[in-house]
Amino acid sequence: MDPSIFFQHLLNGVTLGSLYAFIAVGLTIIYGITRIINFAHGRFYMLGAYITYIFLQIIGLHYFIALPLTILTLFIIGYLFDVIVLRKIRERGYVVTTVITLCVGLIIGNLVKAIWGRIDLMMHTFLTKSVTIGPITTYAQRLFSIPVILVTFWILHYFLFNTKTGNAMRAYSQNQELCIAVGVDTNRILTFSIALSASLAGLGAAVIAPLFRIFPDVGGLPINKAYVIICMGGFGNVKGALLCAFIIGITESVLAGYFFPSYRDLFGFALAIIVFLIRPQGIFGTKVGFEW
Amino acid sequence: MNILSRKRIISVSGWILYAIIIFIAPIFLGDYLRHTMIMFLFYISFVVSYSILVGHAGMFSLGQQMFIGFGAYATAFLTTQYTNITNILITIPMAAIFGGFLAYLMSFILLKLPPRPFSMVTLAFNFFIRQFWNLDPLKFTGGALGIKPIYPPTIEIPGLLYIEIGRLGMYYQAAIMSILMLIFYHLLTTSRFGVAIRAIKENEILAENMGINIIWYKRRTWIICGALAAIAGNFYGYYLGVITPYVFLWYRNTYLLTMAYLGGITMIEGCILGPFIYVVLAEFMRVTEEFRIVIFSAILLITILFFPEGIGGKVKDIYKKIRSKGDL
Amino acid sequence: MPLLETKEVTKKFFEFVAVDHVDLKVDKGELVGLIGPNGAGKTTLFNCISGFYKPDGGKITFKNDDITALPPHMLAKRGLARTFQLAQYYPTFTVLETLMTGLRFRGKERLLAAFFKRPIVMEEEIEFRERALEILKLVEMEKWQDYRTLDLSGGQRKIVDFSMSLILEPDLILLDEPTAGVDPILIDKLLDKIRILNKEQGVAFIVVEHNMKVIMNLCERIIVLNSGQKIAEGTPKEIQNNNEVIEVYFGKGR
Repeated sequence: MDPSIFFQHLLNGVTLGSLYAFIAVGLTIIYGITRIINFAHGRFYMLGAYITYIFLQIIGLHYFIALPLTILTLFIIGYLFDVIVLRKIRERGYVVTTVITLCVGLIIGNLVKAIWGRIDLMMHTFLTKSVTIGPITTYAQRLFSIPVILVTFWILHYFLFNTKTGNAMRAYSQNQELCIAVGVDTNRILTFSIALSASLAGLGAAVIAPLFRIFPDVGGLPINKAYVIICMGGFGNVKGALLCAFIIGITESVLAGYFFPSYRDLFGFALAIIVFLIRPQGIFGTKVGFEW
Repeated sequence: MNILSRKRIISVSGWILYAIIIFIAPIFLGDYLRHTMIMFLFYISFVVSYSILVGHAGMFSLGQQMFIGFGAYATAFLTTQYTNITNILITIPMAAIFGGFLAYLMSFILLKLPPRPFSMVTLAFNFFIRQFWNLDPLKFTGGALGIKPIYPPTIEIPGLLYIEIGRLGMYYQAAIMSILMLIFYHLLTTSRFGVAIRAIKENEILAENMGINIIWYKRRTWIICGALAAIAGNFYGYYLGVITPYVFLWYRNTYLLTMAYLGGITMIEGCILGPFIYVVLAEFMRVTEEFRIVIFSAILLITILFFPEGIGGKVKDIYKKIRSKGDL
Repeated sequence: MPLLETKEVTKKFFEFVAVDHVDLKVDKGELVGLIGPNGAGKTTLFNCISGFYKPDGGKITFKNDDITALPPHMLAKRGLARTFQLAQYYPTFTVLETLMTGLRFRGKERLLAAFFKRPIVMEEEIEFRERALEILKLVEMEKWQDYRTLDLSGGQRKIVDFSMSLILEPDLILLDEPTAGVDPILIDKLLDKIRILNKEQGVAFIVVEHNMKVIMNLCERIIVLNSGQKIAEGTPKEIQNNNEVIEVYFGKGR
């Protein structure tokens, strides 16, 4: 077994896992705090990819400026999404909110497709060039995802456990009534979680999208997998989402690389189903409600 | 309650009239309109299964259309290369059993989940099934190209009867199927089983407290609705003559969701009204797929925001208001 | 043989022990009170007994059968009913429908039977309707029979909740704060009904209440919980004079 090939697959798996992570963590945060399954989340990723492209190729900014700008833009988009759409329908029950996020997602996605067609775009950052490290030759952009992941989720962890807003978010996801009773500004928390999740997706897009062509359906299948990942990791559980994102990313890359290249997309779903059989509520999920 | 009350007479006459129209229509319709009518009847059959599952039992599934796929594939397995059985007296029950059995397997995971995870995991199953069917690791699904041809249906009673169902025959097959589905819907929802699942939808805790074994009822509802959708899928397979994993694409669920909610998800009239409005609207939308999705998603959005009981529900509301004003 | 007996019942949520090795006995026809400060574990204990929670330890027997792991619907069929602190109701069902639904599911589940039993035409349904109306008369809610439960006030829903427990013809009813939110005038009537049911039909009760006057007047025996543990048990008089109980409610020192 050639170690350089293994590391190649591993690195691809890490990149894939990062992609899943950026989407799934945001999704699970939204679910954990607002109890909404955001079917429009994939659109955040898509918009992130296109906005990065605009900053990079059309306006011509340097990558390290385009990156934070994209994050900021997605933050604002997420904020607007909550204020304009989600706030109005929060009390309407989860069926209504789910269907509405579904509709909004489909409308935005298909409008983009319909208007701009299926044009593929190619993005170049200063990192999309080959680099050889030890046995591996790859794009520097792939390696870039590793420090970004580490830094981002370290910051996220710090934020969730050490800041007022972060603690409020965690508290709210565990016990809504208590938070309301204590006087926490729930609107702010809810809107912030959505904005935060959107910017995570945007960050993901800025980091990963340059590696591939971008087109309106960009991130389609990985996004679908992200929904499965949040089920697998435990609904609303960030470390579960992170863990499962990388488990699936790496498993897919390695198994597909070595054994069944065409069945790559099955591994993730199969793993998820195995998890469901053993623990329907997900790896870190808590059993909510009554237990008969 | 009076069996012969005025309300009942109007209701029953309405249904008889509907049945007559359905059965006479093909004489006056050209090929294209007949096709539209057949799809309309097919949609009714599907919406019946969705309405029972979501409208009455409150089990919000995001993957119900995969049972259409199961039914169609079951039919395909029987009807093509290997066994060449086209007899609907065999393929319909087999499709129902196939769909019902897969529903049974899924229920072991699904019924342990609270409502939102339940919906998510039905979607996860949908994604998995689509990938699995597409990639075909066990080499039986026919892969991305699907299975074809699915030979036309027949009705055979060995020794007694042999009918080949042609294009016109398929219209009547769809019509009879949809009417039987509606009858089943009526029987189920007005029976004690229907009361139980509605109680479960309204308040699970109270239902369980009052002696309703909610897992028992939920499992059977899930399996029955899976089997019903599979029966609709059986027809779908025959009608298209071919089946591909495209049937498992989940965003097509939006069309089906739109149909279901447009009509009114808790009422039998909604099962007809929804598909009817959809089919009529679709006629005016000879645009690209993307725009069609946009428009129907927008319609679904508006429906679920402003007409949660569907257009049918709204009509019933207005009718009630008129009647109560009249009584004053 | 006691009607209901719990032996060392324990329920934990992660590390928090909500119910700590509680022993409890209720005989046929007894009227027992269950009191304790908020968070003492009274509702959790009810949830364990009525099958909504699975205890982490201990055993519960009802009419000499082990019911520890049984789900609520089976207990309803065996004659154990309970009400909820926050009255549970079917929003769009009418009051009458709600009660009749309580009657329809007391037998074993059978698919074909459930499918073909048509509420409109069956004789049983007429009986159910009469029985439901009887109960509604008993709690003086008959004129509300055709109102949807969501159109009722909170107190009225509590009464509907109470009548739901009656309709199962149980041997034991667990009442979780039956007077909370109920019109003070009606509280006395409610208590009368409880006493009548207890004396004339031998229905046993365990009543959780915060209203001390109600509990002391109603119950023959009172059990006191604090922090998941049973700290006292006795007649109302004994409990009123029990120092530990006083401390728990009013704190140390006078």
